[in-house]
Amino acid sequence: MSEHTPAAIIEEPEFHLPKHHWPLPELSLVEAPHRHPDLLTFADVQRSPEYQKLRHSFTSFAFPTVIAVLVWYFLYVVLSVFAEGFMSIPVLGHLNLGMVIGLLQFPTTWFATWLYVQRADKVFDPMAAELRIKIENEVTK
Amino acid sequence: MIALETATGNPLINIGIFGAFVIFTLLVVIRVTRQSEKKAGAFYTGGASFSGRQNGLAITGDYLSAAAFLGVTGAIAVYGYDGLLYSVGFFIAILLALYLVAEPLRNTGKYTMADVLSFRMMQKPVRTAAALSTLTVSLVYLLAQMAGAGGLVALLLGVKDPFWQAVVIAGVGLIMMVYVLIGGMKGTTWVQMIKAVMLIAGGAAMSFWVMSGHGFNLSDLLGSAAAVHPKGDAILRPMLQYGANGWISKLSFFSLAIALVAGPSGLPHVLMRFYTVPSAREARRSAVWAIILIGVFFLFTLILGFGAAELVGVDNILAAPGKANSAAPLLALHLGGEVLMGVISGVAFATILAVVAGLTITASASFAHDFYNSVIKSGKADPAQEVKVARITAVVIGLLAIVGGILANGQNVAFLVSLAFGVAASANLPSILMTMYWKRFNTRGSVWSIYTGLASAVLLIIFSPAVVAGPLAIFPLTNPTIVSLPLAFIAGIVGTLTSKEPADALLQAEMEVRSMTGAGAEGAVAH
Repeated sequence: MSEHTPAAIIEEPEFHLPKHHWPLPELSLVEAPHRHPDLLTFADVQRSPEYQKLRHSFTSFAFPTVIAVLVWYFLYVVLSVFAEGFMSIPVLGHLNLGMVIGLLQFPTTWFATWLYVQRADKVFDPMAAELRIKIENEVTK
Repeated sequence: MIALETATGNPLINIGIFGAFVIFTLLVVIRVTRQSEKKAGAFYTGGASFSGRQNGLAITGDYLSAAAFLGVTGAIAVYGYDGLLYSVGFFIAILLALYLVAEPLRNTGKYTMADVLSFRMMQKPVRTAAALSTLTVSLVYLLAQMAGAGGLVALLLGVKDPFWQAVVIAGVGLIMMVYVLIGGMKGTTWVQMIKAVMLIAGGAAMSFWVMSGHGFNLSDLLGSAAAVHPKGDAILRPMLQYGANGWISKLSFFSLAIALVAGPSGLPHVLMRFYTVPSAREARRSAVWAIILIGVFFLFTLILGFGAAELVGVDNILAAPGKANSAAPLLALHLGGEVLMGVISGVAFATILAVVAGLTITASASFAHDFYNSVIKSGKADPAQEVKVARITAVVIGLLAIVGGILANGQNVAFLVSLAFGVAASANLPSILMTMYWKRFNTRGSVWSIYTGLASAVLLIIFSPAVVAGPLAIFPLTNPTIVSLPLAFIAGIVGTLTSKEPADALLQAEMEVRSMTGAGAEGAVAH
């Protein structure tokens, strides 16, 4: 079971998938993917600089982006509701400014999605995996 | 133009295609649930064994209810611009779920929304409050769906007699119960996935058809629709619908816009979807798939709405039995004849069926897991017993849905959807965000926030023109969120700061570290 699991395998995100999703046959020997650490371990980790760095890199990215997305959305709503004349300015054929801003909400939302996935896959996941291994190895000591 | 007598297409084809969907999905449900569903994890979350892509499809299925498909298409056909305005907020809402809710929820909870809310708080008071708000949102949403089923029956099956409409509503409710009881969350998820694929494929085919008539030029389509629309160019400009009664209706829409963007991250049946995947990474992928598919679908509804306005005509749509809701089926009839209309009608029925099943499983899981196990049995209930309670609850909710759907048949129930989003945005979202992102937030803050959001949203909508008339309508807006959402945040902050019991620092550390790293989170159930 878990003590036979090399750390390199736990690090793989696929480790947390059920057996039939696992690409690596040797992983199918693993039954319990997670060990349960105690509360003091979590408190120690929360104070550690590695964790603080992860937390900071998440919040300093996620909160401003969410605020920007909401500002962009409410700009569309408020202008549509209270500035009908401005939003009716023709832009492209029968498309007026309001329609264009409304349609632009779709690509911008998809862009924000892409931005998050990039950041999460490349920055948050490796940092989180390192901490997770540290926490879960703590238990077996 | 289509004569009214044939506005329902061929009811036999409609029933036949819907029947084929029911039989096909039942076979799938039986096939995927060969193993016993006695384990709580299997019944509530399908053993957390779905992949991100599968779950993304299922979220899309849950999200695109009949109101989103038929309602938005109809609103665009009749009001143009304002229909798009409605769909954009609902679309952007999933982005908030991706950024702030999906992964932490997956890493810290197991079955229900209350798992997360009560993680670092006193169990009983917080779970009771969260269960009450989960049940309120789910039941109100359920009632709205079932009431819509009646109108759809009238439109698609040509059933005008209220008695036979009631029989069909009861049939929809019974089939839904069969899905939930046999398939649990696993079966329900498969029904959602199949339905989402059908809905998107149908939407894509019809959009392609409409656009091919305009050289794939959106501006040309808008111009042609406006040219034949009784309101003319006004459908291309804002506030044809939401500006109808001046400032009050504009503010009402602004409040609705807040509910639309904040509510879905607090809808328990959408949140529960994130427990059906094995890891935070898969939860992220589910949200990404959902954002792509739902966005594409709402762009389809824009084309379908204007296409219906141009090809079917607004007068014909409004004269049909389902009024604006009939825009999409009538467009299908115009484009592809009775068979295509049968397919689209089957999809619409499947939509109601699948969404109702998802709501039922969420409500019954919350009652059994949060209320029966955690509050009545102090968390010591036997898991098999808990699942038994969940199944009994599912039957009770199914019966309530049937009775409620029959009673609400033909009534104007638009306020129910408004209420469900208002409660989700006010009672659930503020407490979820403060639990996850504010260290000091504690039990009293959570309980105050949930009850304040719930009570203010419910009371404000009862004493509004959406429900009562005349001097009783003290609150002028038809949507409560602009007031109830800030109130819930204030109550949470005041409750937290006035409480003598500080937040549990160790549990807070565990929750935060788990939510960020996934350490100790619930993985997939070994089969």
